[in-house]
Amino acid sequence: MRSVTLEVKSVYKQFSGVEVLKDVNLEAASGEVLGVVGINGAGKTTLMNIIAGEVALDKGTLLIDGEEVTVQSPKDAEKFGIALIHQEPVDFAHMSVAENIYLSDLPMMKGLPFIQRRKMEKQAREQLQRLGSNLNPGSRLSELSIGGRQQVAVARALAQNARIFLFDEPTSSLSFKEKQYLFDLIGRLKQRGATIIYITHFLDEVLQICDNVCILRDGRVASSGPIGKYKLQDVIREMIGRDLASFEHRQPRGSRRELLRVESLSAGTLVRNVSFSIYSGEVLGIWGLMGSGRTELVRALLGLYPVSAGKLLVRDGVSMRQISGRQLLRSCGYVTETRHDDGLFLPQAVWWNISSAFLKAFEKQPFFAMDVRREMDAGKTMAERLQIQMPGVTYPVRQLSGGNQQKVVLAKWLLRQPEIYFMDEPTRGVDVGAKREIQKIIRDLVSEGAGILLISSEIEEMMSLSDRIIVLRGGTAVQEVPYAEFSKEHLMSLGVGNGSET
Amino acid sequence: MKQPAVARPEKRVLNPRLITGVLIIVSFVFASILVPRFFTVNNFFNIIVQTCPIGLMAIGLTFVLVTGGIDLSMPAIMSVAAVIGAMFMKSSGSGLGGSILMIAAAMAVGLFNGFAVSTLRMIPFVVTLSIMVVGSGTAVWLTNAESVFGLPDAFINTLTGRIGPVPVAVIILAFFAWAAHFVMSRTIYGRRVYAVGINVKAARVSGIRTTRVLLSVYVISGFFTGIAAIISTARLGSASPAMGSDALVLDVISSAVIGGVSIYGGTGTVLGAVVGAIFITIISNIMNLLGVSYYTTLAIKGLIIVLATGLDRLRRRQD
Amino acid sequence: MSNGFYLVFVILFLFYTFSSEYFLTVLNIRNILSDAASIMVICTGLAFVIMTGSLDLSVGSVAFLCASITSLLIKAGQPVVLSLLFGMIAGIVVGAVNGVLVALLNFNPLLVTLGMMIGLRGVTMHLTKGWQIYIPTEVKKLAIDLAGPVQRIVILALVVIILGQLVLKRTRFGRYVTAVGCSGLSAKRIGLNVRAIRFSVFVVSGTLAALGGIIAMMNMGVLQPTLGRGLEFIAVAAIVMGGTSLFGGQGSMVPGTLFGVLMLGIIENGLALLAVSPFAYPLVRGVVIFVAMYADSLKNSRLAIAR
Repeated sequence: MRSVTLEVKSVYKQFSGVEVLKDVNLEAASGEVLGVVGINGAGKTTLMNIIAGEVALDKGTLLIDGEEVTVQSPKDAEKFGIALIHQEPVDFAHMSVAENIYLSDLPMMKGLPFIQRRKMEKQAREQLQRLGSNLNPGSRLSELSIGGRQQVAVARALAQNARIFLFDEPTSSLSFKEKQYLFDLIGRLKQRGATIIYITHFLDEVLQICDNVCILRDGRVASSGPIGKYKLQDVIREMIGRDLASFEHRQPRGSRRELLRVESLSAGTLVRNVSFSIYSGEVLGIWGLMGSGRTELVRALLGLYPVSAGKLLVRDGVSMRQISGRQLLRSCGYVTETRHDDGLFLPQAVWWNISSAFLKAFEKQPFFAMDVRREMDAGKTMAERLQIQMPGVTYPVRQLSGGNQQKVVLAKWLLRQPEIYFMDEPTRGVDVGAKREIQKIIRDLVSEGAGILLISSEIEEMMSLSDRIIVLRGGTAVQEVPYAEFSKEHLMSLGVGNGSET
Repeated sequence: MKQPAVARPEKRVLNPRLITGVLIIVSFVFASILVPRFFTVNNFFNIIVQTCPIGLMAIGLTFVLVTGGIDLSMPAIMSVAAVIGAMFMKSSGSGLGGSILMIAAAMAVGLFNGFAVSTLRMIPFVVTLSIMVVGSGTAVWLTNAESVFGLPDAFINTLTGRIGPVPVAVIILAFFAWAAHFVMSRTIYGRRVYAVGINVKAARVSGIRTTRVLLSVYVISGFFTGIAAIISTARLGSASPAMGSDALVLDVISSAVIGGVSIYGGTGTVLGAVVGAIFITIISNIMNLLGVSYYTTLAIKGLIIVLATGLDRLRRRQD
Repeated sequence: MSNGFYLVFVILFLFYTFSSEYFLTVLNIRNILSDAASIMVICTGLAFVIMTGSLDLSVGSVAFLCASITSLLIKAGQPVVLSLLFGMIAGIVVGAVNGVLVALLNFNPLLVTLGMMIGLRGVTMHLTKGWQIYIPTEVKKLAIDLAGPVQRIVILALVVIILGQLVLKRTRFGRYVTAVGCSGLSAKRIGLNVRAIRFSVFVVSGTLAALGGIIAMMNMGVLQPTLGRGLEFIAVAAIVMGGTSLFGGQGSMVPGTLFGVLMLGIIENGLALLAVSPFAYPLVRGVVIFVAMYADSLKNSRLAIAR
């Protein structure tokens, strides 16, 4: 008999005006694996965070074993037997496997304040073996691979009597062999009656190990049911919805000059032998799933990530000359993925931020002094041009909303008037209005002759902004897709990797 | 044109600027009670002259602190530089040569500190700590624990003299305070220093050569340590390893922190640090006048830095 | 603990053995050990603080303060046990104050303990007027009488450091300390009282600094006004050399810190035997600290730490 352990009803969640989950319903039963899939931004991670108590829901209910519960903190979740296994598990690197498993519940000797180490290791070994793992309970966590650390995280959850396991993109950093171990582990958990929710963007895995699937799209459940009902193409279709009306035919803009040539760039395991060129007057989209190496590619290009091989050439008059990543960084525009982390100086004024990448232009002699008046004027001009909503240029950037902060980042680079831009998720965390404005800015820049490399996880945005798209998968450039062949299905298939080569 | 202030945080009861202001006013009141002619120009000059070495080092330290680092080695290096320069002066008779040597020696050490922090990626506290230990040991070793006397009169007289009514030391401190403040708050270099302190990753992305900036601030603190060595030596008429005591480290750091320079980096001005140094000097004077023993003064200075840390914490809270 | 360290240790040992005929004598080894006793105890306490990723620069001054209190009381005729007790209590109190400021009020540990370091030295000098305070020989003998092949204080120090190791690796408290040092965030997530743990390590540090100071005083038979000067830096160096990282969460008392202390002790002892100018000691110390720290930062390339 099927016993439903977890139910999610009508959950709604918004962050700063952006609706992430609109009306989500799902149910998971013991002894079953429920796969949750959807493109980036569909709301999977937020949903898991709500169930695991990391984030509070705005509306809706959670039921465990038929009873309504409120999960407001990870500790609550633990009480209800819910365990979230992060992609990169949170743990204590320099302590042993056994300690990591039993730290909140160390077995003590009677009468003495000492830990029963042997007993702890024995128990740990048993837990691990039940999961099909032969990890040594005495080894240090830092010596283990990500796969090993995952096993420890699961063992810890088991030790705390978890019954509901949420796996958040667990296989992104695993080798093939480790993946098999993980699937084996999940199989064993299933046998013991655990309830498993498995989030992933690797659709082949879903087909392989899940009993049921729930496909999220745009904050809602697009479709759900037993896995037998679905073929791969069906899942993809549900994930991306129907193609919108066809785009206006894009004319190639002006004369095409090659601005940047990347030859055989390799950086660790995340970027493998990638070659491409950026031309003036175009947006080159880099598409791929999470973990495919897009951000690393850009960072490697710009010398922010250690490069193992490759050459960069930049236009110099009529010919191309070689350039280093650092030199490129100083002459291009680079909108980073995480503006709070490395894109903005949050406590500083808007004008301060806007001029921060082009300080030399505001130097006035003598004595290398900064012409603050000109800086502020430039800041004001930029802010008007980009329609930045703010109390004034002298206000600290952290007081601005996400969309306006992102515009400040853009303004900073626009000031340099570079020929080449690298934009990594330029509309992430930005409200709808600002999103449209930023997209327009991108189109305007390109019509003025700039070449833009665009990374975005929103497939529609990619398709509407790009002139051509290069798909990355596992660090390699799989295929270049010309404008005429843009379609969500095609791109998704290439990204997922099911041989849809034309 | 002064750079406009960022929008002010809301005033709360425990506003750190208010507290600092109150402290300064209270210390002035105290001092004026104790010193009959406190509010005379002459007395102010005296105070500034006394503040000179600490003030200079606090200026140099400000650059380092703003980038989020720290330099514990300054007083120790001051004594090493002073000793080296003094020994040279004594044997060659050249006050100028000795002075240049002091600056050069201190800057060389600063270069090493900067290299270790920026390129070897070591922790500033640790690097400057080891240098402090090595430095004070070296000073003792070079002099056999004795003071170096016999310095050229020209040297001493020039630096302890006056130009008109104003002591030379005051002019020097004022000049460097103004110059450093200008550099920090008005030049492109200063802008880069603050950028590195506020968000080093963003600074890097913006194209700022963060390694160079980090290296340079330690060289600058070395430079000011060298100047402090010159002034100190001239005032004392001699150079000795005792010049760079532990208490001095505390004074210099307290000056900067009380003056608004956060130990966590990104905020603070040179002028604030100098004001802080003046405050510390006045406190030392008050202790002196009250007949408080040297050791009790140490205790009080320890307390002051703990309070200064609290102030800094409050300031950070408000961010 | 890296093999490189042991290698250097052995090389150093051999070097000194061959360079000086006095090195490998019973008397000399005893001296090395008895001098190392007080540092060993202090390092045990300080290592707990460093394990949580924090810092306590006041240990030298706390040692001085407590040794002074104890010696003053003894000199004034008070019973030895009582004097010792008061000395220790002073250490506990200072540790608690540090703990409140750093762990509960979140003040910057470097500045706070730096202030304590200098402030306490001032207070203590005020108490002792900078004099040397001699203790009666009977009392001194309590400490340095031989218990087997080595002095009693050496046994005491070894007991302390071994206990420290046991506590660190085998008790709940010790494991929590390590966990907090590994990742304060994770520790909070699994429900540990991170503040309380951070507080208590300062109390431990203060207490053991007191004990260490008293040991040093009794070893000499006199309270020197320079007791503990610069001790904190030597202690940090020994701890880091012994494999404990300044970033927290890693390291051991035995063999780590123990050998770090012995290594430093041997270096200094050897220098003395080779009649190296005493002025060179700080130079050697500074270089040793620097190298140890460099190795540590190579191991752990993170940049954030209590400044």
